[in-house]
Amino acid sequence: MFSTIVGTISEILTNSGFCQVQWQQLVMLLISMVLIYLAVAKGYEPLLLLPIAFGMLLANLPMANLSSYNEGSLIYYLYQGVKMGIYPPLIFLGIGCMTDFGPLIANPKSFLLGAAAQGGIFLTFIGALALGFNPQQAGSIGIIGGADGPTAIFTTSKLAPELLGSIAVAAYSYMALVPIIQPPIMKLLTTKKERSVVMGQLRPVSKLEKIVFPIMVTIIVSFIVPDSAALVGMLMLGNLFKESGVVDRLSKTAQNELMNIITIFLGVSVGATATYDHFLVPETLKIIVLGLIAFCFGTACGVLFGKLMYIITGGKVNPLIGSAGVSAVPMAARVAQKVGQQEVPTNYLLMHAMGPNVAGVIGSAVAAGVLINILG
Amino acid sequence: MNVDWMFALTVLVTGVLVVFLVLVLLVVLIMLMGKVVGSFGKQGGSSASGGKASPQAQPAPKAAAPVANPQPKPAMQTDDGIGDEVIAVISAAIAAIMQDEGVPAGSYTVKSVKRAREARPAWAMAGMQQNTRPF
Repeated sequence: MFSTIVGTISEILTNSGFCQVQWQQLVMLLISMVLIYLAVAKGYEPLLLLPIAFGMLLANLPMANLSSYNEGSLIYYLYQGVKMGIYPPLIFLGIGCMTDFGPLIANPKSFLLGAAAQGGIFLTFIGALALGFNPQQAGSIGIIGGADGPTAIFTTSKLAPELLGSIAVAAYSYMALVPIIQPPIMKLLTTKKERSVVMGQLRPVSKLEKIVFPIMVTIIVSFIVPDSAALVGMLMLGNLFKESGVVDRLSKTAQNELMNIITIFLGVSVGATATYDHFLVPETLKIIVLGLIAFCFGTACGVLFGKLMYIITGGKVNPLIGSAGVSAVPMAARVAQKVGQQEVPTNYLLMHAMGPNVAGVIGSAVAAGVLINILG
Repeated sequence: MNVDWMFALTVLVTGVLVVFLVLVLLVVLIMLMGKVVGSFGKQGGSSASGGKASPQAQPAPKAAAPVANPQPKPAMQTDDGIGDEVIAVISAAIAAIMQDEGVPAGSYTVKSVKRAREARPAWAMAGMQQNTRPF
């Protein structure tokens, strides 16, 4: 009997994680802990980074078979929502309920800044091709420059699902780093005089306009780029919930409970795609570098287009708001506001920057649709 | 690694072009919508014209300032609408700060009192900050 007990215990031990673990898994556990630290202690996009980081941890537990690729595991089923492109549009539904497109309707020219900032996506696409990625992967990496997590995940799940983990981590990390990455670029590309421009007050926007806007945008965008319809359509449905004012309950659910549930599913299952054999490869490092380049290019394109508008309007547009054209709502707008206030303390660019900011969300969804259409 | 540069360039150009095309179209349509809705508002009542009139009325007191100033030939330049009491309070505040800083009382003169940029008063600023904090 004694030998049976010893035998059983030794069997449990040899089958335990301690005996079966591979060094790569330990490295991944360490990385996930660093990400958890960044989310908890530094507050880097904790709502998404924390579930993503813990998903990474779960996926790299030895013998647990919890990654998004292990058919039959809990996370495998949650992951189907990512794979089939269900979660990102639902997140957009919630974002739509929380977004006020008023500043954009009041100053539609901001749309151009939101479009210009998408230049980073396509420039990085070329960079990624040059570094040896195939076109589908290059498109997914470029979309990091759109600074929009759900859009990046949506595009990657359609074009290059094998890169999902690294792209999601890169996209959300850089979104959290917007206040550090953007200001030096903004200051480098603008003069003190340009940064000091005080912009006039925005006109008030009527309720009718706010209701017509989401319907119009959905129809126009979907007619031209049908691949964006899922993202833009859901974003605008959420916005219509909000602006119509007649479905308060739906609006509240979409932006709170529904969005929180989806965020948990999305975060954990995207994190769990980052198993060591997918994540600990040289490509991840390249993606992280390219992601940063995409972000910088996007910011630069926005600011440079802002400068163009500054010249054309005879100094009425502060080029700083161009940087908010990369989505990252509302962080990028807040950065524009802060940099502007460093020059003129009473200047308030926030509302003006919100225009390009929300236009950037639509812009990156359109860019995603274009990439899926050409490369898919 | 062979990169098909022609293809890369095609993606770049079509991508940027389509994004701009869509968004420019939206700009035009939203401007149109703004015009149409705006004209409804004007027909609907005088509220729109009333709103426009008020900002024009505001600059009037400012214009009066240079006329009012030269007549009494004041000891210090002040913007119109700043009363003697306010000047006294401001001077006292300056004196108090200067004393704290260790500057002797007779060594400086308050020559002019001007309003700081009127673009956004401090209280309006505080209100705006409170309202936009959720962003």
